[in-house]
Amino acid sequence: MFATADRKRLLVGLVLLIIIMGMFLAFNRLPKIGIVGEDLDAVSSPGRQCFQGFCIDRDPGTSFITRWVKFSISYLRLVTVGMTFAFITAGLAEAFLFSKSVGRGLPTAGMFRRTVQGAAAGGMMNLCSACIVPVSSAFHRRASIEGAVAMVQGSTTLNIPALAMVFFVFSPVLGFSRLIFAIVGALIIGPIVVMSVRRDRVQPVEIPDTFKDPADLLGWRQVLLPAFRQWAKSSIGYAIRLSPIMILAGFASGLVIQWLSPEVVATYLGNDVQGVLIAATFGVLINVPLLFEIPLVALLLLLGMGTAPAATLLFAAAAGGPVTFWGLARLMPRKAIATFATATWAVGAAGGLLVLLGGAYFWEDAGLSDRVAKAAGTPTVEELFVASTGDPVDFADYPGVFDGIPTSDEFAPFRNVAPLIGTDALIENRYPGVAIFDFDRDGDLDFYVTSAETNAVFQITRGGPNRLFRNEGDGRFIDVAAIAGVTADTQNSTAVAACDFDNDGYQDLYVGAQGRIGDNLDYRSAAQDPELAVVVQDRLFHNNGDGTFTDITATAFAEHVNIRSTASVACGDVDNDGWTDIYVGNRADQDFVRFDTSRHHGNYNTLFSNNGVDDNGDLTFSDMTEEAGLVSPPIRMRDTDGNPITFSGPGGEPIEGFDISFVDANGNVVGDPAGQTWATMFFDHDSDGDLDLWIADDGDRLKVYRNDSTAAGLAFTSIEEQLDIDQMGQWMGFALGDYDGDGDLDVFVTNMGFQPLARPWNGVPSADCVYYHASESGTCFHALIENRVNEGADPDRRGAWQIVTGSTEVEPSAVLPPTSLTGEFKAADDGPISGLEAYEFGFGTVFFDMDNDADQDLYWLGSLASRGEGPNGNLAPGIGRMLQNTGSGGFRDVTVEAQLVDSLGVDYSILDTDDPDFSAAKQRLGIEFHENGKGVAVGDLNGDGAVDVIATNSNGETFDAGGDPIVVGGPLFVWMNSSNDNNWISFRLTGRMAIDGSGSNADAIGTRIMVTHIGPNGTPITQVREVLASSSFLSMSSTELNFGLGDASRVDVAIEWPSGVETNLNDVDLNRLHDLVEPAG
Amino acid sequence: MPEWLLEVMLPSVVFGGLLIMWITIPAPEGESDFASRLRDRFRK
Repeated sequence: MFATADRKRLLVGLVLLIIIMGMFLAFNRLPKIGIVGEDLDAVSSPGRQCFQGFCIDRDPGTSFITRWVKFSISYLRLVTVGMTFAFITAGLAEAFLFSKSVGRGLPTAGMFRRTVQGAAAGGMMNLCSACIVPVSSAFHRRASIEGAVAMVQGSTTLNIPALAMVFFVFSPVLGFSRLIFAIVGALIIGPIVVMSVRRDRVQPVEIPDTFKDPADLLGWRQVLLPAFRQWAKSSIGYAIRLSPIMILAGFASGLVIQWLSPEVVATYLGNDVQGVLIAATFGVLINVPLLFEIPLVALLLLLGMGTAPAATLLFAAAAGGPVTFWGLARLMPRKAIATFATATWAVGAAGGLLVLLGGAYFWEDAGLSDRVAKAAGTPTVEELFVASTGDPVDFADYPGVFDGIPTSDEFAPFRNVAPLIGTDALIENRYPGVAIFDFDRDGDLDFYVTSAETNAVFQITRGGPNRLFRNEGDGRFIDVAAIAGVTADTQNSTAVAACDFDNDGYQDLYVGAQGRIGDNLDYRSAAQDPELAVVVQDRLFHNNGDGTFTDITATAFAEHVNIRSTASVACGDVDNDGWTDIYVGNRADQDFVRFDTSRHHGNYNTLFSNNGVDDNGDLTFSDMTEEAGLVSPPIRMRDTDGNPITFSGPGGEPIEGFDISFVDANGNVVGDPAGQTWATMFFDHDSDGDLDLWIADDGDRLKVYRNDSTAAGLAFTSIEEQLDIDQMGQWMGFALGDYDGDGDLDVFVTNMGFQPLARPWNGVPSADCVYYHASESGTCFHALIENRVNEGADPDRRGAWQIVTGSTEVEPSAVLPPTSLTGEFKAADDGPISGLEAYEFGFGTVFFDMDNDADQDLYWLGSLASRGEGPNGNLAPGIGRMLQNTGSGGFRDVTVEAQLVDSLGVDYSILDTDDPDFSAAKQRLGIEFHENGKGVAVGDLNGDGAVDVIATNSNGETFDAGGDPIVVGGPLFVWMNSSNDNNWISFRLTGRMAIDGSGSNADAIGTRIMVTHIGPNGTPITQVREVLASSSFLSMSSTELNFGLGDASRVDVAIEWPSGVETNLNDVDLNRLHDLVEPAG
Repeated sequence: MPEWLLEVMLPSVVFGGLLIMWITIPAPEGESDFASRLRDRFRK
């Protein structure tokens, strides 16, 4: 049986091959499958967009060279083990399996048989296209070119793990196309290559069966010892010859991969002929380790690549690359190599075109299978619940939530899906804002989140690209900011507003910025330093309507671009010319904010009047602040006797709270004699048909400007004193809603809240809570300001308001009552605390109908300095409060029941404080467990009629497990509202300017809707809303208007457009969104 | 042990072993290569 030397070598060779393959599986294949899995998990989380350690636009702090080297080294580390096994397998094949004397069998077989056997042997080898080259070199000796090429094809595209993973990961379209391409490629590419070089072809050594090898007479030892020596020699020879090529190829592949930006994918790899051809070319230009074409293609699919180019790339990237061709060039003529590369490209391209053709007729474009889709898609309620609590829970503890549809008096908990929608849910920004809007007009709401600048000096202030999460409509949100061109990563982004400034039907983005923290340079220094100006300037991104935006800041604002640390942006057509204007509320550079002196410098705010689109197609704005009478006045800073505390101005004039000797590192005066504005809001507070302006300053009085503009020009009049609401405070955010159901719009303003621990009194009047509470005209409590126009308090309807904070009852939470009511922190100088005054810090705030029961509920969140468990975390705590409207003028605190506590890792499983297993500390249900809340925006993200909430939190310091401070990002919360059985109705309004250039602004900002229906006790209820487009605080809610209707079965709707046109709709369809266009006037 | 060191060890051990095998097994008669010359030098 083993009479010949060939058979002796073959037997030993096969045994060794089995041992080597076993070790190969253990050392390389199995661990590599794990890595592929990790990469797939990464790409199914679009926020990461990583592949083998290279994260597209996710590691913006590193240079191109660093990313290239990092990727290339990762690549080389991944292929090193595989190459080691490849070299020794090649040596083994040469010495034992296909030794020079072995000539019987294959060579005399036909081309087809050699091809099939090469493909089969390759499939069993299971090596990457570069790794298989040495083995196929050995095989080539007896199977000729076609056998060697088929072995490469078989190994790379027909191996079982790759095919299984393709079917496992991708859709059947891609799975079957990959299988067909692999079979076709393995069977035809080899023969095609042979035919191309038929004349030059070196025939394999054909030895007659009658040949007798003298070595057959030798014993086992005499046969095997030289074979082992030859094995060692050949293996080392392969390593020496091919390793340098592998290293070069690794770096070349790394270089190519660097060009895989989302923009490139979107532009060049779409589902069209161009995309297929480019994918085929790209595929043959790169070498990837075996199986890694799968996460690469999955990544590209998520970045926007079409199915057809994906099918092409799945084949071409695996089938061959420069190293493959280079290595095989030693075996066959250059013409053969060129044919091999061309044939690989052609098979990939032709297959992709067939997929493209088939896709157009037979199936819809769908690249990823359910596996990836599920990973990033909408989880079940149960999954979300477990995810939000961190531990499995007993759903029986939540009757009415999981056992059926809640009744109208109930509501299901909100579910934070941020970690599940494809974002790592952490924001690197001290002042992150969010805007909810439908940027691509596909009918569902997307959202935009701002981050700090990428290149900040200090780690705590270092951010990254802003993010634009596109709503896929199936529960997934994919970050497309890079594709859309709105990353603004050089900018220190803060507030954001999404408004259609050019009336083209697509909302544009105004992104505010603030000064660079820690450089001690104010805006005047930035104006002298172009590099710093880039960081601190606001930007206007024009929505091109094709999924991308263009930065038009320079043409839109010219030298008036705002660099004064924006904290709020309000959109509104203040002169009713149909073009939406902008009011920018500026705070102060963070480096110069002081609460311990009587110097309290702010920055001037700016009114940008929209000039419309000029003859060049440019949208331009003019700074009309002064003409409109909106130059911010000096703050009110008084001593304990009520006398102004002044400093000498530039001309020696006294200015309250502003000291020109306060300069930055360059010697420039800091700020302006103005308040530090946190929130601004346009709405028609006196119902006279134009937009009035409300301003919330941190350290000054509330400000209200009545719009008295006429055809002669813009004019605003300060009326807060006249309205008797000019209380001083540390005002933070505005919410607008008819909380008392009387048909007029009321205002809630967040403040520091009840914060006795905030700052010790240092005896100096300053803009802090102790100072305000020492003054009759100051407060740190929130302000609920009731609009009393409909109570007859204002016969001429020019505005009548009353602060009702203390008299508005709130039923406290049994689990998390405010500390002011526990006695733990009660401060003597705060006097009796009542109603809404009892509640702690607030920044972002919003009125919305959380339970669709036809009244306005109130939510806010906020904190100061840090998260609760970080340094100074409880200086001014705030867990966020969800106050459910009781329908009788008060509220009930349902923050815990709604699961809207602004904190990570809260365990809501036990909410009965009498339960012996309830533990506030273990369940993280205490005032000390809070994030550093900032912006809030609402909108119906999933179109179920239940309004959802997005909240942002500051990054900052917390403690690690060892107690050392570490800087971490602020979590983003995307709280999805579980709908109940109440009826609802929503409206998306479009002003006539977007249709024919007449009538109201495209966003219909300022439009008022009255929805009338019969309430539970048989009396009619009229709910009123106004389209609001203001970023308060830092953030802007959707301009869609949502109305909860309880069990009402009929509603009548009246719409008052800013142009004066009125629309009346009777018996409107319920439980749907109505897309309404302003009728022609 | 750092991960990279583990990754370097496998090829080092494999190719080190192969090199030893190449040197220690005598070359067929009339065949001269790097290993046989090295082996001859050691034997002297």
